Amino acid sequence: MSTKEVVMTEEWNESDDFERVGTEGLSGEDIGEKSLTYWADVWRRFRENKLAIFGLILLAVIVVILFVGPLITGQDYQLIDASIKNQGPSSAHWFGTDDMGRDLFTRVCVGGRISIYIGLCCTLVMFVIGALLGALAGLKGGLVDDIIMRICEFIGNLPYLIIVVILSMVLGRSMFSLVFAMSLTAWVGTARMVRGQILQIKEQDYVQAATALGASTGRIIIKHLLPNTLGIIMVDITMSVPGFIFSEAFLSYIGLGVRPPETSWGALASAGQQQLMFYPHELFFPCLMIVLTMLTFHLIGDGLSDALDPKLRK
Amino acid sequence: MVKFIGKRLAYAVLTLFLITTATFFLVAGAPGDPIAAKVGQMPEQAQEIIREKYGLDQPVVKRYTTYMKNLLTTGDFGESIIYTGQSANDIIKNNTLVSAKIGLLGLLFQVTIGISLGMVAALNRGKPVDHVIRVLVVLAICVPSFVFASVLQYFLAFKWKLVPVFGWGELKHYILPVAAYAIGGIASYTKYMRSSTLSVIGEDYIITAKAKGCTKKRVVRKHVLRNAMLPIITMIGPSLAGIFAGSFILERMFAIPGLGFYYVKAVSDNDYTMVIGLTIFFAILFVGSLIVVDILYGIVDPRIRVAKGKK
Amino acid sequence: MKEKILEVKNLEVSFKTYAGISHAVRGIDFNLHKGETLAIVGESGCGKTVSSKAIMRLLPESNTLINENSEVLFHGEDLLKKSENEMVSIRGSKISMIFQDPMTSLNPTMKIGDQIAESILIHRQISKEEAYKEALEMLQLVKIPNAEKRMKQYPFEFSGGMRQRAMIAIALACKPEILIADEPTTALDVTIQAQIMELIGELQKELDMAMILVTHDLGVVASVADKIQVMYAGKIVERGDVREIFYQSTHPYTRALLDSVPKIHSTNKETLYSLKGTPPDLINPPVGCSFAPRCEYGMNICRKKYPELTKFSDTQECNCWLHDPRADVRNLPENMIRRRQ
Repeated sequence: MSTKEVVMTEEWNESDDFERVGTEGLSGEDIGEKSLTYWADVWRRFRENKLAIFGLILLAVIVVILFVGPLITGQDYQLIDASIKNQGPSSAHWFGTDDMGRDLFTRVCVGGRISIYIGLCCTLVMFVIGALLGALAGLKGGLVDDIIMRICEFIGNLPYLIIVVILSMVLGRSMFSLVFAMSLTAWVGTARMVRGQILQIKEQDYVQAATALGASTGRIIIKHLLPNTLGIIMVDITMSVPGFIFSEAFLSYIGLGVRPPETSWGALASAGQQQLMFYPHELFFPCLMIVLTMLTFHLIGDGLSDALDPKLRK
Repeated sequence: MVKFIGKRLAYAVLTLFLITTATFFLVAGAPGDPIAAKVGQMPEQAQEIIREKYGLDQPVVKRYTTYMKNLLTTGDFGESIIYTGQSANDIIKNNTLVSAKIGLLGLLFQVTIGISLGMVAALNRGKPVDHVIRVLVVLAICVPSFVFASVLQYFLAFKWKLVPVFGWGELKHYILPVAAYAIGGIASYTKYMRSSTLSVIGEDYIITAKAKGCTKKRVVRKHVLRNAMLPIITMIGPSLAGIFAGSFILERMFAIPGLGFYYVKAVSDNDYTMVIGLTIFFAILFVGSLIVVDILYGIVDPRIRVAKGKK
Repeated sequence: MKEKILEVKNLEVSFKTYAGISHAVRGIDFNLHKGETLAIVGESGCGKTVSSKAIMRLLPESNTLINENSEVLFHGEDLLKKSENEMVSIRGSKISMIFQDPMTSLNPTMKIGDQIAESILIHRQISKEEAYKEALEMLQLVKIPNAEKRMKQYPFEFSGGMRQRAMIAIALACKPEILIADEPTTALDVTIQAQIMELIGELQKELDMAMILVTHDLGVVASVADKIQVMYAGKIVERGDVREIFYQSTHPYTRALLDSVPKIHSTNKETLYSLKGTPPDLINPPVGCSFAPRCEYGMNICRKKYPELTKFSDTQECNCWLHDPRADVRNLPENMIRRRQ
């Protein structure tokens, strides 16, 4: 009926080899490494990204220099000294002096604070308005959603730069109008993104299950929606800060940004550009700081989005 | 499809109407006397005549209706209140093309070079070519266009005298502004094309194509390229609309008589009729290009084309 | 006995991953004869799909390692040694494949007709018009109504079942000798599943193709397959013809798979059996039988040494320590004990 060929190559001496043990110590769910929490895992993968860590350290160094630098040099960023106009870098003036004999290093530090401050302010405003309206639209749905999305669509259809130009014309050229104008157009993206995330997550089985089990809306938001949206929002924020610094530089450059005697990297670059042919250092240093700062935020943002990408998780 | 375009157009007209209205009331209603500087020295009577000429003696609403009537019936964008005799229409007529040439040329380079580099990087993922392209992209994204323009100006024009520092008229004048304009865009198009291509390569239908017996070349040409370019086309819309905004800085730096040059000038002169007129024109260009992109997207992606057409 | 067209010998495939080298397929052998249907059955992640893609050389080159001693002989020629150009002329014309998810397996921006005609145009020197005519015939062959109109439509205008029919049309457009169907019905509604399997079966007879049917669902296999081989953790643990596997299976894993298929005629209210645990990590595969930790009849030896092959008939064989004479056979199912003797 049936043939049977068991070929044994070795003799087995241990008598209990054929003792039944069944599913004793069943593998599967209980075996495997201790599972990390979501954020611990994200942080671990972020840490492994050398470029991102480099960006983080460089950013910290830049910020420290911006605040501590002027204290060390002891120079006043507004002090005009016609006798030392347009000097190149030296031990007295690390970045040289500008066309009015002001210490460029100190000016770059003070201007950098303003640039970063504007970047952070705009991001904060953008994030608060965008996240609130986006969440409202996504959670409420219906008419509220319709109205918010129409507004977004309208603002999205406006040429951003022109809005900023007109607003700063109408409101006068101040830091407030700059922040106001830039965040007014920027929150739309955040709102759309948050709404999209919430709609997507709302559809997911585990949230529907939570709803079916009677979890309250507040609990669902805190337990399920927040951790899932937070990641994307964080990446958005890191990418937004340099974007705003960029825009500020751009606007200051065409004369719509910060007004003298205050200064910013954009304003410094604009001034430096006038002297480009003969004193290129006056353009070089503010630009270098802009580029380095942009670079750090980009590296951090890239690292974050890689760390948060579920496809790359292991 | 016709219905879709119709709806889109109606929406655009509404947007333009709102922009025009908002711009007019914001700018014209702004505090301060726009012609105070110009008429300050004149006798009272002459001031009155000028105010009457520009309708400044009338309430804002009345000025608005007059302006809209002129704009819609004769296409009159308004007249400068600083430079007598110069109208927004003149500037638009004479200088739009200059900005458009630089912008479109720059955009052409951005899209073609960006798409090619992105494809090359994605298809050689992990190889040296890919790393080199990625590093260049990060650097280029971090450099503002005016910085790049300055560097080009300093070295190519000033130090090595290969091209003119600034000016306008001949072919050689195009090189610096177009290059400065294109570089940032090339970087972002490369970045997006790379990730878009990578995600398309991972799709199931690419395996289907291979299983059919397509050669690698054919897979790229027939299946990867079109699908990877779809999301890129959505980016062209804002770029197209951004052409004129991008010209603000570069036209000033290279002394190019384009729209942006005059717009920035009008803003700093407080020439409010000019600002209103040019803003409205910019808005028309912007909204118009968004529509073009929507239609373009519909042609490339059949899902949108058919779904929207049926509704 | 019919002509042997495909012979897989000692196929070993591993992948480089972040965590280490994952041994997805750990040395499998099988043959495929003309006109025959071979089903490869197992849980997801056991190496079924990887083996079928390895045959067509569709695995990503960058991170795939195939053992140098592995052979995939198609009419006696080793596909693993062929150049990419030679493979291109075999894929789609001699050996075709259909995939699990029809929603993502078709190019969303290409008309259905173009996608079918493409494989005809690649492999045969005929004009575009003729290729389209044949594509249309294929679409009619897979029973898509209004085929002419459907030719000019895009995948998103097709339902899931229709798309899978279109996939079949693409795969069969050049009348291949072997069709590899990778979970062809898994993503479809139950009612559609039967229709698609029936269609595949019909076309297989009509074109006299051999078929490798990869699935985790033994229910699908019963009506179509001639031979079944059961895979677990990258190895074949049991093979046999359909009757042997369904009525006289000899491996506890096969039994577990069979028990987890719902039976319509079952009258008692016993709950549906479900296999506990998950397949092992293939980066560090277990030394002994990989199924041992989940096996209710597992013995100490199972975790130490891989079992030898036991032959039960010309067609049925199995790797399991339970067939060793010294094995502890208490509580074994009756027909399994009978098979031992």
